[in-house]
Amino acid sequence: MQAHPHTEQDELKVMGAKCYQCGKCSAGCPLASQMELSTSQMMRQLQLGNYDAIYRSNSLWVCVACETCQSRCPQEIKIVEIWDTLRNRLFADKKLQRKYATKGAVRHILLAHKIFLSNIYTFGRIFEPMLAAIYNLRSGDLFKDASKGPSLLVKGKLPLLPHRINGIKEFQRIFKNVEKYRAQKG
Amino acid sequence: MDIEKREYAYYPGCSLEGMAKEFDIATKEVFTRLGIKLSELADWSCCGATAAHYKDRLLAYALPARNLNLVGKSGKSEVAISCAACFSRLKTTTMQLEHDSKLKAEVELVLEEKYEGGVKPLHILEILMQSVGTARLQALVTKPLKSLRVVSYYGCLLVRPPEVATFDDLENPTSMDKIMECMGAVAVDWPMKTECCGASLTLSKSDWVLNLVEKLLREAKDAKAQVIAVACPLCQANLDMRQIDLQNQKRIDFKMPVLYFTQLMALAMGAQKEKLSFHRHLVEVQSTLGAYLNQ
Amino acid sequence: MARIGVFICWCGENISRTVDVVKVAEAMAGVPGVVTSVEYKYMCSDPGQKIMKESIKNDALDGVVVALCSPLMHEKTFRTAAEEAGLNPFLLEVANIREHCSWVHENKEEATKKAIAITRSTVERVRYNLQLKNITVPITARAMVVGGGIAGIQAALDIANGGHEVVLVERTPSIGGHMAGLSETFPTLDCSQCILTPRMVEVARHPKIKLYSYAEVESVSGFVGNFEVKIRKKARSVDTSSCTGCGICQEKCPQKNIASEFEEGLGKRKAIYVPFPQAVPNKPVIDRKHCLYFTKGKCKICEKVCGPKAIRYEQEDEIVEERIGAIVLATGYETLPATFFPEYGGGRYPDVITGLQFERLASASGPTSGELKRPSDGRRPETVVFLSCAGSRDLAKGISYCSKICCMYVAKHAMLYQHKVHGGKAYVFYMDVRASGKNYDEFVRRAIEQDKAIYVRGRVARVYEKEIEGVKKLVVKGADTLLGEQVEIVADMVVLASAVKPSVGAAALAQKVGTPYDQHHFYSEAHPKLRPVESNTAGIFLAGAAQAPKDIPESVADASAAASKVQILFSRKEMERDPYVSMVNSDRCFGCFSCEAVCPYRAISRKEIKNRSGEVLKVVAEVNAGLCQGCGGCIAICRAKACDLAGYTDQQIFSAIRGFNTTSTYEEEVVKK
Repeated sequence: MQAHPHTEQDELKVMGAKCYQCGKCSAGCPLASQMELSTSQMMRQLQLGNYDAIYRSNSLWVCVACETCQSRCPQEIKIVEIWDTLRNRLFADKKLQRKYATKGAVRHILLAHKIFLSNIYTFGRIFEPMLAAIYNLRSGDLFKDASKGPSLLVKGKLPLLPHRINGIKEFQRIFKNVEKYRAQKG
Repeated sequence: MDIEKREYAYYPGCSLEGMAKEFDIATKEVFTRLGIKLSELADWSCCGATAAHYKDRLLAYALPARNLNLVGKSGKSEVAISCAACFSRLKTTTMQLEHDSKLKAEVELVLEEKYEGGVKPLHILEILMQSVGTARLQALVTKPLKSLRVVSYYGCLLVRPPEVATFDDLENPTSMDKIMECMGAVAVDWPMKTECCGASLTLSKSDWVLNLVEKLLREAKDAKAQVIAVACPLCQANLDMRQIDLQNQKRIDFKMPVLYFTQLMALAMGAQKEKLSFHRHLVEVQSTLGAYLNQ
Repeated sequence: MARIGVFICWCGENISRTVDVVKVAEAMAGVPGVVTSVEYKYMCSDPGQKIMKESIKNDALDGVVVALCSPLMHEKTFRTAAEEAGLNPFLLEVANIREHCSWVHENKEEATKKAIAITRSTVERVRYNLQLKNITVPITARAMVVGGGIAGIQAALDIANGGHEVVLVERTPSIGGHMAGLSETFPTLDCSQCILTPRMVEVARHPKIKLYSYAEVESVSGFVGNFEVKIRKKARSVDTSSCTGCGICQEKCPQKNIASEFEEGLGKRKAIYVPFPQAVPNKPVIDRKHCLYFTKGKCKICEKVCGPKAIRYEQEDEIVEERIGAIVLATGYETLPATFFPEYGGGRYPDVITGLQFERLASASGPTSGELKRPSDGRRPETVVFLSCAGSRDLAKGISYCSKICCMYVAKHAMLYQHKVHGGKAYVFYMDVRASGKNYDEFVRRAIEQDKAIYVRGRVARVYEKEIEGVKKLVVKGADTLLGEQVEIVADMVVLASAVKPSVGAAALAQKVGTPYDQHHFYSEAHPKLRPVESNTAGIFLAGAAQAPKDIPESVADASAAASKVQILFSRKEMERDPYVSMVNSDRCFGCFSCEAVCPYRAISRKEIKNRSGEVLKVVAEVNAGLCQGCGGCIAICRAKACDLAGYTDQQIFSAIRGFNTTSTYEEEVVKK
């Protein structure tokens, strides 16, 4: 049995307090069947300040931010905004990542997002062939979708050479400035 | 209703340079025929997509803000966008920065320049419906897609969140359907217009995406659709490419072409089939659209 | 010079524990004009009162301050006592040194200082108190009830049976309201019409009830006991006195495909029609929007077939005037239409219906004679999903409140469905089951345990149509939050327990009557606990769902309560009211009538001031004391400072304020300067 902790109030808990567990979010979620905690269960854990349970489940990463839950929430809770804040926290915290994001689907999904970001960091835009190739390399799933590679190339779907934007330096500075700003704020 | 504009700044987005090149080609074709110039934004960069707002809220607003400033610098106040996700990110950014002065200050700090604001991101569907209008679209049709049964797939970000995607109905959008009707096609009602395809999970958890895509395709088939029309590169990629996986893994062959709605428009407006890159699709298009291609 | 007596109470230890009452008495004794200042352990006791009464007589007091508990508690006690001792009761004021002082402080020294300040302030106020008299207004012992649903019917019958005349105004062609359309009623499952129609007939036959059906309140003026009401009798196009109600006109009318309001759009009616067979009055009305004669200029079949020649195409709306002493607002409710729910396909899918529509389908008098059939294709629904809280408790849809009646009627629907379709499956999606009423929870348990309704705790996200084996089905996507799983049910029919809201025009009527309503347009009660059926406007009473969502027993109880309030008012020939009303100094008034514009109670009228030869010198404002509620709006707006509030004059207030922080009197400080 789990004790209900009386944790301290914080901004997210205040946002979550409006949830009355109607379940309309979970009912419409396209990825509910893959989530270890349903959207409404995540909100319940949030109300209790049980962040450990939230991060232990894969739900934050299974969510693709399709906004179905938020657009139907009768209590007008900014669900995606709350989840983004939680995801941001994990992205910003290596310790949290080591604790919660080294296994299974969560590792793969997080990896995909990271590779996506490093891809645009490098070129200023996405270079799709490298995106898939690096992902497969890093995830260990070497031949995933590889069969489609040649046919995509033949069909001209995949460009052969990356395009790098002219203002790549100032573009990359945006990323660095965000990092710097976060480091300053702690 | 806006007075019809002759020129818009144009933000194609990354996919339209790569996997979704045919969306770019077809969109430009349609707009040229309408006499509307789309001037591609010089040196535009990625909007950050889903990954950026997962990683850092500030980054997620700064990346679109760079592009919005570029629009301003080009002397335009409205930017046309083809990709549903890019549209959503840019529009969300304009809305947030307008009323959140703290966020705006943070964005300006990391951009190392002022965020000027005053730019209006518009999805091309919105421009076609609200500024151009169906009457004008209909007037340009030379090869109507007579009796072609089309289901329109809007996906997520063309209708959600409703405060951002304001140009169509949240639960039952009809703009694409109306355009398809103008093109002479039969706009078939189906229940999956706004159900998610799995989006960015396609890279990491393609099996989950496969399940969602299968459901969508099955409903399209049950509605006796011949073609799915889309307005989002990721939706197109998932629905088109994953049909190959469904064949290989589950021995299900839907044979359902998934076309950008501007491809179908261009076709109805008499564009050369060679120009529309139907060969770029993984699910074969010729056998379904044959009659219309060889008109 | 004033002769003021101050009487300070210990209230046992309640005051004396933290306030040194002796010191207060000593301090007051030194105030100019105070001729006696005493303290006593229990001032409200008989001996306590006696001290005050004797002092009034012996010391010839012309002002009294009693320093004790809240005036809500004992103002009346002491004013009555003062009156008995021969002093105008409005020359006595209460200084609250208990709730405002001793109970909320700990430091005795500070509290004593404050008690002195409070009492001193009241002394300064009393100095300028005027001798006032309660206002008496004559009462017209006739009531108007607006709304002919069960609440209006009950209120009208109760008042009429109490011996008073009642004018009952109903907007639609027949009384009966929503209850007339219900199938069976919870928690006893007795037939709604069977218990309602005798009451309707009683209304029609009652010698003391004057029924205006197909009529609306046009305007209301006047005040409690003396309202003047104009009622618009809409043109029925039928002379009700000669019409026999034979029904031949309705039978022969060729316009037959008009959606029936009574059948909630599921049945059809003619252009000349009686809304339902048991209607009261059982006289038809011509719907001019659909009548061939009114739209195309030809037909007149009804006129031809009418034996008693009762058809009157030329009839016009008629305005009648009634004098009324009290008004009961019983305008009821409506529910959100299915089209309000795009995520459930309301309006797009014919088999997604509202609870009120289900009532008609289940009713023996309904369009299917009580057989459950789908509106789309007439098939028997094998699976029905009921959605409670459709729109209720839904901030996003603008309705924050619980509609209260749905939990019970959804259970009833599930039950009725199981009784009518054996082997059918009923699902109920719910968030909470709120069944707090006599035998209510037992009723819901019966639906679950005996009638096998499957209750699923969760809200539904979406409903969409899908053809399965040639039949259009509804796919319901919900959640079972107790399992933490998604649920998908393929149903034949979806019933929305759509939210209750006040009937259209409720706010407009409230504005005509001059009574407040809340942000949802429900009428506001004067006090949520202690005055639940009274409005804040004297003489206006509330009954039923016009005030908040209510079920039948509650509406009936409300109606009887409101009727009883009306009869209390009517039990006297004239009524007394506090004299705290605005007064106009006609010397100062220059007749700008800003006060007239701001007065929410329409209490300001214009008075001509004439000289002896009858020439009008000027026109000034005058306050009708019967209407004025003493809100002070006129006083704030008056540029000439001609308006003042009796009992709360500027002079009294300023003097009281000065009294808090001074040892000198208002007179010494201000008047003499």
